[in-house]
Amino acid sequence: MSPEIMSIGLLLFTIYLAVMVLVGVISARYQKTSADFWVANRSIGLPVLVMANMAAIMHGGSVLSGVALMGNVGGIAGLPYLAFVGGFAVIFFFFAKKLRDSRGFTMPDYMGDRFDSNFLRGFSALIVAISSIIYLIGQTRVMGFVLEQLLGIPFFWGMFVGTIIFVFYVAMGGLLAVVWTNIVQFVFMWLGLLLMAPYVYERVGGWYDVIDKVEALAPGWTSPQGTSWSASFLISWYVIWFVAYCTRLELVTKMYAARDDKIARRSLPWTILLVMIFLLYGNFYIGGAARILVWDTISSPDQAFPTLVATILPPVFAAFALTGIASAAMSTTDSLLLMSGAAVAHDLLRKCIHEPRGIVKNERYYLRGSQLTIVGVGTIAFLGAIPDVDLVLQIVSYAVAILGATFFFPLLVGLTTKRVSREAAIASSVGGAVVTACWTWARIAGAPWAQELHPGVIGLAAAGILIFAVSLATKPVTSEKLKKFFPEKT
Amino acid sequence: MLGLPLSSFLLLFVAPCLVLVPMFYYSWLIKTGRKD
Repeated sequence: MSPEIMSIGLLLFTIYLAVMVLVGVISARYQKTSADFWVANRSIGLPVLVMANMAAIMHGGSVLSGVALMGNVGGIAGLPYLAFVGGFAVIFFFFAKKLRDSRGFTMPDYMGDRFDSNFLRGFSALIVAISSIIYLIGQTRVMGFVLEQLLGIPFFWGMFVGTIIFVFYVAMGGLLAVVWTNIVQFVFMWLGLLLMAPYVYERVGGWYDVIDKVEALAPGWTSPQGTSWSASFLISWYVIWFVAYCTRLELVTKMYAARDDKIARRSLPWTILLVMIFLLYGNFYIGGAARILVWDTISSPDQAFPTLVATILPPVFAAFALTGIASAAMSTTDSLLLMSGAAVAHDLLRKCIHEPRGIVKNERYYLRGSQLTIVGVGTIAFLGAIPDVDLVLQIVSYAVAILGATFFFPLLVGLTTKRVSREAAIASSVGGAVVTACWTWARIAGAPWAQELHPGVIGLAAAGILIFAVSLATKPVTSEKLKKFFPEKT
Repeated sequence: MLGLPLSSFLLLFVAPCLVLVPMFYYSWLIKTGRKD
């Protein structure tokens, strides 16, 4: 990377960080209660929600790793949007309205209220907190890596500065700050990507040209399996991501923050459309172009995107494009921080410890407690991200599977039928999480029998069997408790 | 089909649209108050 690109990029990145701090300070003025902090006082309208949904799942690493993956092997598995579409459709048709109308804050709120179980609320909060913190550690490392790759900021200092900034604005402004910073990051990232379009077009041509050229260079690149996926890999990949996107905490929580249930639902097809366009252009087309233009000059696929940008764009534009992507490296970390903070401060402290014991505290106490929790969790994530422990990164890739196995069936079945009992939901959640965790442990330890199937598939199967079997043998939750989720028609 | 093998085209464009179009239609019904 030329020094000119680096210095312009650092200048732009400094301006961007200042904007993030400003958003945090402005959002802090709207924080009076914990509802303001965790669900932005349920005030988010359609366009903002669409962009916030999109930004929470498509971060800077999605471009970097997506271009690397597509450039390397091609195929359709590099574009996980079949899984997005299916997962979002389930949220759209089954979850969004009832979750929004139940007026909770978090996933553990749903589990506790729907199944009338404080144990389930606490267990869910622990699963959310642990998996979000592990995932957050992984994403903090991704952020450091992206900043190092794109702007030349040393890995440790990239993580350090990035963490301080996102912890600051999340602690100050809660979900409102997360949503607005996500939108700034989203716009910045898109501007960077769009700036590239004419330069890429000039060098490799349009869609058809890229497909012809890349297929000639790497036969099989355009087939569903690409140059190296297998059919069974494709299927299990989509199953795991489908479940992961049904239960994606950043999305489910944003349903609570919508102005009403209609806006919650209407945001989802638009989000899918944007994700599809993003992946077709930002991963498929740019990935193909990288394969054609720079593949022979790079030593690892991760360098594909920065090398492509530096090769084809004038320095000022290159700096802008790289900074746009680097800025978006924070858009998943801040959402995860908020999730893990909510699990500790709202679900565990307030709902599981204070309220059952009749301990009464005012909203100001919980607001301050939430902010302190965010700082604490952010510090843990940063400290956890410093050592280069391979095990942490291996576990990260299974964190979404544990979340999926814990919440998928209690959400899907619990919101579609009244028949699911408290005991069945506990058995499904605990059983799904434990089986997935054990299978993951065996897989990482190298047990040959655990290598064949993904732990998420086994955990889901266990969770599915348990919820149906135990429901048959136990009594459902009383109708009085279910009114929130199954209102009586008048 | 858009330069792609038929199987890739179906999985990349047709399959998502089979889900997305009903979602947009349902979304329009929600917006216009014809569905709750």
